[in-house]
Amino acid sequence: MSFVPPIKLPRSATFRLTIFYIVLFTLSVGAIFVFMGLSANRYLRLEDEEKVDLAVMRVTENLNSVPSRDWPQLIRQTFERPENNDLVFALFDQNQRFILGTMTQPPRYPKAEDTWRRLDYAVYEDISPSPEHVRAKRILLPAGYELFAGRQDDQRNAVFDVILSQLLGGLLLTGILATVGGVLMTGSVVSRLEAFNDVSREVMTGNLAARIPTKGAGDEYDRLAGNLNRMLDQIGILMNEVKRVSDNIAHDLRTPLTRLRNRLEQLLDDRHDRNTQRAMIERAIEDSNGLLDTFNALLRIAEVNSGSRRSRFAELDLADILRDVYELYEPLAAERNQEMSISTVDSAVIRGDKDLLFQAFANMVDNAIKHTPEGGEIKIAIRDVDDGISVSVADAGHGISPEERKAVFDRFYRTEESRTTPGSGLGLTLVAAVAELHGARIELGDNEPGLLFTMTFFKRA
Amino acid sequence: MRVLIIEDDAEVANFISKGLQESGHLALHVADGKEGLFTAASDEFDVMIVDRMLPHVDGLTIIQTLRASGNDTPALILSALGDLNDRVKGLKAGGDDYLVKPFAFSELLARLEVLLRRIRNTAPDTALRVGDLEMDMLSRRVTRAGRHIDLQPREFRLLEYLMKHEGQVITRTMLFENVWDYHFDPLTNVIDVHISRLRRKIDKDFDRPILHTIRGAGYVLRAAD
Repeated sequence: MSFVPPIKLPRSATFRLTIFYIVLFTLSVGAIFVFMGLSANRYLRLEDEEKVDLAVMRVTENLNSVPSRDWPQLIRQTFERPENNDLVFALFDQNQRFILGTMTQPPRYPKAEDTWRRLDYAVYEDISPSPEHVRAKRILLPAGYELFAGRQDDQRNAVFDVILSQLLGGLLLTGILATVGGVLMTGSVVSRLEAFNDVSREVMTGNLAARIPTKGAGDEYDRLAGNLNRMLDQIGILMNEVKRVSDNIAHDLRTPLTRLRNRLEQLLDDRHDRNTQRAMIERAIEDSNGLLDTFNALLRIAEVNSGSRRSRFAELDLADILRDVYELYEPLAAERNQEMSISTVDSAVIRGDKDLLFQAFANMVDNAIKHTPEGGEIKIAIRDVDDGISVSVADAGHGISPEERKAVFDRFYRTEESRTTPGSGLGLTLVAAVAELHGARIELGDNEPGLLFTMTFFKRA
Repeated sequence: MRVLIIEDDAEVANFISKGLQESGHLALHVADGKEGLFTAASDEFDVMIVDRMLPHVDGLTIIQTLRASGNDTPALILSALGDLNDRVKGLKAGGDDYLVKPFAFSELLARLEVLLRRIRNTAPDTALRVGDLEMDMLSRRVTRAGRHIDLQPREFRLLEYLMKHEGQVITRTMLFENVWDYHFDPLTNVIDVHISRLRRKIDKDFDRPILHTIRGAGYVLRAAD
């Protein structure tokens, strides 16, 4: 794993995501720290106030049991206790004359008109006799006396400063660690993805054998790699199939083309008389027609395979189509003394392409007639089965061996026995294509003897 | 006949017009859709051959426009391999026949001649006659030289079509489309067998055959002269 990401950091989606996360995370941590700081500050302030309140309470508790001339003494005693040495206080008489205290100057704010009420808290204000800050409050005593009591700020501020600097330090450390982590993570993700990109590039230059390496960790990368590799396998299979089919097509078309060419070449020979020439030309035209038919059949198969004809599906009755096929081929069977019978249901309505289905059934019946010997029996049937409607053609020919049953649907495939009979080898290919277009299932079975060809159409649930 | 060919592929157009000229017809070739529409609208032709894919105005639009303006010239639509079997669309647009490339010239010619001599009758024929072969449409009876011939329904339809196109070459594909109503490429020439059967019934026991095979093209019903 390389540390340095092969793409510029800002371009990487992972990096942008981590930066986004870092910022979000740092802001969250910052918010928490701010909250913590504010809470700490508030706690410390409350502590201050509590201490002041405690001293003030001591004073006000005892005021009523002590004559007013002793009040200064009481107040001094209270505030000069050792534990209160960080408190500040000042006592003013009803004329705002300073009596005693640590504050040298009366704080400037309006004199309250209220009479003294027990625990009457005035608004907390920061009073600042320089150079120190204190936080103090004004308490109204009986007879118009005013007591100011507070606590110095400096200790609290010192503590708060330490806390604050610690928090900021922590925040900075968080930011640094997060960024480093982000870069590392980006590097890891990007380099992992580069492996995918490398293989893709290799495949595109033509090496279909390239596969994405998996680390065996079973993680999302491995799963993606596994799927992509299987996709490449599938592409390889398809390409081989295409190659095989085109090779077959080229090979099988060469023969009739060569024959045509030979005929035409023979025509150049002047020794033939007009009638012979004419006959040869007619046969040459027949050959080309045959070739054109083959090409048309190939194109039709391709068109069916492309699925585009599905958009033209309409409701039709399979029984009607099968009956039409029977009627078309019955004379052909009769010529070969074959007994062809048909058994149908009243109606078998599905959605499909009338012409394609007619063609498929016709090919099936045509095959049956071709392979059944003279006098043999052919049974055409359409019936309802559990999962749908089945159309079957049973002949009395030599059947198709189980090994060949899959291959017969390949383009141009001819079984050994039919190699010499006329035909392009595309008939069954088209049948298979039409079946697939209609979502129907094909089965080749043993008619004992002969072939039982069944196509099952599924009823839409 | 005067034939207008609207086709942008020069080779195909050449092939068609040469063949037509050799058969004794007059062919005018236009390679552009717009020009084709103009020519068809401003001149008299017996039949048109219109390719679907054309520059500027496509074939179906040409036909639709002509039909909308009252021009009834029979039109045969040529279509390239891409739109195999868009027959219905072509016929709906006002075309009279539909042929997919590549086609054999004999097929094209046969279809053109059928188009040309199509009699626009609103009243159906009550009886058809070719030579001494007679078909009564009302009673569905066929006789030849006075002798009754027993035909099955499909054979009747086949003979009816051939008689309606007396003297014209009918290709196997045309028979499939018109007598069987399917667009279909048979593996074996199963139509030939139907024709043989029909021939056995209407020709075999009579002195002069009227159902002839034209090699490489199709069949024709013609009273011998």
